[in-house]
Amino acid sequence: MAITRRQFIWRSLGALGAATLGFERFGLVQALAQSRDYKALVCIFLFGGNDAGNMIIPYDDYADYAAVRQSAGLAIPQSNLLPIDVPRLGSRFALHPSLTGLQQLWLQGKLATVCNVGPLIEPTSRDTYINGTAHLPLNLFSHSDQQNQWQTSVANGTGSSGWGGRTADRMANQNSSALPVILSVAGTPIFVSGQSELPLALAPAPTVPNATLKLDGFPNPPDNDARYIALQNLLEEDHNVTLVRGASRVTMNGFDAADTLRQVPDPAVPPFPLNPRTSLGNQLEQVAKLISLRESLGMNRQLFFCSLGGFDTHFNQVNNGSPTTGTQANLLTQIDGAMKAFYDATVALGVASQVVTFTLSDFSRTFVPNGNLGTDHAWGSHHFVMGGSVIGGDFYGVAGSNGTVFPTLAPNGPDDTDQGSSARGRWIPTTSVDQYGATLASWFGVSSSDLPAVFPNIGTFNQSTLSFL
Amino acid sequence: MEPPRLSSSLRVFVILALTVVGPPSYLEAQSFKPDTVRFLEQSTFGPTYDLIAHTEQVGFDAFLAEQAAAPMRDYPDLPFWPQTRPTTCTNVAPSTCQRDNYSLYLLQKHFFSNALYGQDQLRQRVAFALSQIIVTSAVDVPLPSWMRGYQQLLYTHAFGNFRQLLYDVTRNPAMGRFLNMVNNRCQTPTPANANVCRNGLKSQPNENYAREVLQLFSIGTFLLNQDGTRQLDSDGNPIPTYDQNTVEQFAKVFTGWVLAPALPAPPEVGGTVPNYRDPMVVHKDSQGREDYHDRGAKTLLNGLQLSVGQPTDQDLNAAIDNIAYHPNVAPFISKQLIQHLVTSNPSPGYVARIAAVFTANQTSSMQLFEVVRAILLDDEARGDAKDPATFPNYGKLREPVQFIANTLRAFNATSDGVLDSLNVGGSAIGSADMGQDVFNAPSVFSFYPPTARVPGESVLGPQFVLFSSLTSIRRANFVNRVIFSTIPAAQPNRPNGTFIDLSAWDSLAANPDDLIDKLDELLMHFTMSDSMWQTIRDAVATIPATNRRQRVRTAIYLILTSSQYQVER
Repeated sequence: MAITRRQFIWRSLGALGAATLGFERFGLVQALAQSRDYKALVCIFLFGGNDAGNMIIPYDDYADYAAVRQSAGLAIPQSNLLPIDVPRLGSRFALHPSLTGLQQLWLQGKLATVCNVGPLIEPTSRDTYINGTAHLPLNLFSHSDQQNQWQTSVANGTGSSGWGGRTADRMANQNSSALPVILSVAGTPIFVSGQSELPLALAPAPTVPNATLKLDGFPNPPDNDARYIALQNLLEEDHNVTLVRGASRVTMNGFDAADTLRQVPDPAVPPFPLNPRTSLGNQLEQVAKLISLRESLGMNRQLFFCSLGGFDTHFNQVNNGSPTTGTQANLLTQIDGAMKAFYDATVALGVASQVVTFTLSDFSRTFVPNGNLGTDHAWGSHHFVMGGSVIGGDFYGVAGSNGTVFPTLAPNGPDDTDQGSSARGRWIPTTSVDQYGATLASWFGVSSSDLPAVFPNIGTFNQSTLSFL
Repeated sequence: MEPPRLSSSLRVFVILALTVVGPPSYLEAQSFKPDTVRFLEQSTFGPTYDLIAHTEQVGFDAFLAEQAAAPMRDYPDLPFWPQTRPTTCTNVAPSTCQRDNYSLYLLQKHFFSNALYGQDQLRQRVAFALSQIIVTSAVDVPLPSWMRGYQQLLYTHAFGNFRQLLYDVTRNPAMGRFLNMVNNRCQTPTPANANVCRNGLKSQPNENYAREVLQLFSIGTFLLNQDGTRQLDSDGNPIPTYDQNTVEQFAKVFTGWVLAPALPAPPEVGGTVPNYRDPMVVHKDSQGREDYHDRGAKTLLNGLQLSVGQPTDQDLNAAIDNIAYHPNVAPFISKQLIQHLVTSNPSPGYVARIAAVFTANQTSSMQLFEVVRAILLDDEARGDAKDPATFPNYGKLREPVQFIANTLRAFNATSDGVLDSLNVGGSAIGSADMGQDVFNAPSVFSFYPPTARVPGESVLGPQFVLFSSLTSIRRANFVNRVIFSTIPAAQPNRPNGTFIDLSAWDSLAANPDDLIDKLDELLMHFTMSDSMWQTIRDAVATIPATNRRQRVRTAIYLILTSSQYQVER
């Protein structure tokens, strides 16, 4: 059968001879799956550049924050904040008031924050930034470039694969499945493209997994239908045209996966109590369903990709006179509801300690607002890591000039790229995307000797990984 | 075993010689030049037999001249409703108030209808390309009446002057809202200086429009040679076109503009609504001073100095000149237009030839038409076929809008134009479902960057961003629905539905060879590989000759879902 032959050809490019073939071997597949450990990474990309400055706020040192953000109407009143203890800094910080669910997870030790992280080529200080000796990421403050750098971990060029994909490349041999390691419910950005692994794009909930790639117009199963056979065979004919080959590769990947997914039942999963439904909630609900199918699909390692857009809050980040509401508050409310529901689902599925969820975003935003109740493009940001294996309830990262992992919130101060009286507060990251990603990839199973292949610049940083996992 | 396929040239000859029995009009033996079909793939929303015959008769030059003068069908003139929907405006039958005034429904319906049936095909193609280069999106322009003016502007200027386009785009209120130039104002410097600024916020000018007009709409992030390749410094590194300071300088230029005076709301609502009809105007205080504009000195691209105290519009004109006449614009915009119309991987020589036309017509009121004309008539665009051995990276993936429109135009479809977001029989098969929600791109970066690559390959393939396991199956499901069935009418949102007319093709089905050859001509300008031809031939031959329509449908389905068709060459 052409399909299995194709699967073998494509997947054997990267996976080391792992059994990949058809559903008829499901019994064996299940046995394999149960005999091994299971781990999943779940990426949530916040497109547009999330303003971490209003997501993680100093509580004891609230005055530092208010001094910069209050007069432009952006400061969230201290009385509205959700305080959290941060042992590493010995002082209290706070979450945005929309993040009530994440505050609970923080208190339970299931949520951590990685501070002031961003694309770097090498450790970079304000001095080396200003005097021009630092090698800087290309086109700083540009959406497309910084998105690319967050996804590829290559800040000094344009990579052709993502660190999610390269991580998956090294884990493909852990699975006994016809499906790839990476399943995306938010398209196929470069993050999920490996050197050998191709991502699979699926629809979010409420479409059930076995219908998300349904090919209409054929009997079920379609294998003996002459038109179906021709359809499949035509994908093998690229006519020596590069773009045709690329299109066929994507389509074959989909048809092969459809074949596999057709065999699995609609999973009974724990309730995903989100009302109303949200974009991110639907994505994470689908991820929970797919995780619940891990054994019948033969999966031991899975990497999922979700995303949410709208974070480019140049205006109306907060509503006029009501800084706890506005565009960012709505987005953070969505994140909070979806992430908390997802964590609860992993608990109900018994895999909470085997699933780590993390956020990425283009950049953080200027600490000094603009005049439209908004903020502009900056650099270093704070990110959440969630899961039963996360050593939560604390800040992580590399300490900067003030001796802590949290930047000094002073425009024209020791962490700002900008100088002078109109400095905007664009923090120079102290922790690189490489270190953040390498920590996640190491937990997932990438060996330390493989890290440089996944994160090419990791060697320029003193420590390869952080201690949140 | 079926007989092997005749070679392409021999097949053309055979078709020419086949002046036999009864099929109507174009499906008779008449055969067209493959390059005519190719030309129309590049310059329209899809070849039709009428248009192929006409173009063959008048020639490409005359066709282009006709297109320059072809009548436009303007976007519907939508009333301006309040930003917050009145509770009286609903979709409770028989009302469609909410749909019509608070969603893109009417604009998208017009867009597809015009793509399918409008005469000014080339203007529409160019306007659609421009809408993906110089972008606004309903993501931040929520009312269709606000978006209407912007799309109409691109449609009107599609063959016009780039500098004029950039100026008009900059003052357009939808763009003003989308990238926050509206209400962008100077800020109090330290120490306060009344000559620079007269308002009192502790904050800075909004950088959004300043950054994206440079990065995306005009010059891009690196200095380019005229052939589109990057200039390199002595260390071999690319050279940034601008830096953060440049962005901040332009942010100051783009201060001082507000919406024009409010418009009356619809009578049933009363009061006034924000003016998203007219260009933005300069804000003035009670004494007539331009108090929102940063009157300080600014340093722009290539060191251009704007002196202290210039009026708002004078600063703006100087800045637009500074941007629009930067040498990067010609290759930056030309290459993207080539990628949208012809091929994802144009040669540097192709880009350079078009950039030269762009520059030579810098002051022409038909500058973009001349550019597009040159793109379409260039040797790299023309020819009956591009041999894979010589041009393996040639062509482009049909984007969802093209894929849908090409399919429907080829088969004489009757459609209400409701094709953007479409769920039929539980299957999502519209353009939005394939990743291209018209006028509602995810961000100012549109649906795909011009630098995106083909998965697993090292060549450019921007449209592949929208091509995944999920969307490729949705494409096949769209084909399945329109070829084997119909998109039925469903009131109120699908007034007529969409259906194609295959009756003329039935007579060809008796002979699968003729059927596939004619489809190869219309859909693939005779570039179908021999093995593809044979595979389809075998599948069609399994269907009894008495079931002609099923043969026709099967052949069409297999062609349209094939990768060789998805990639237009």
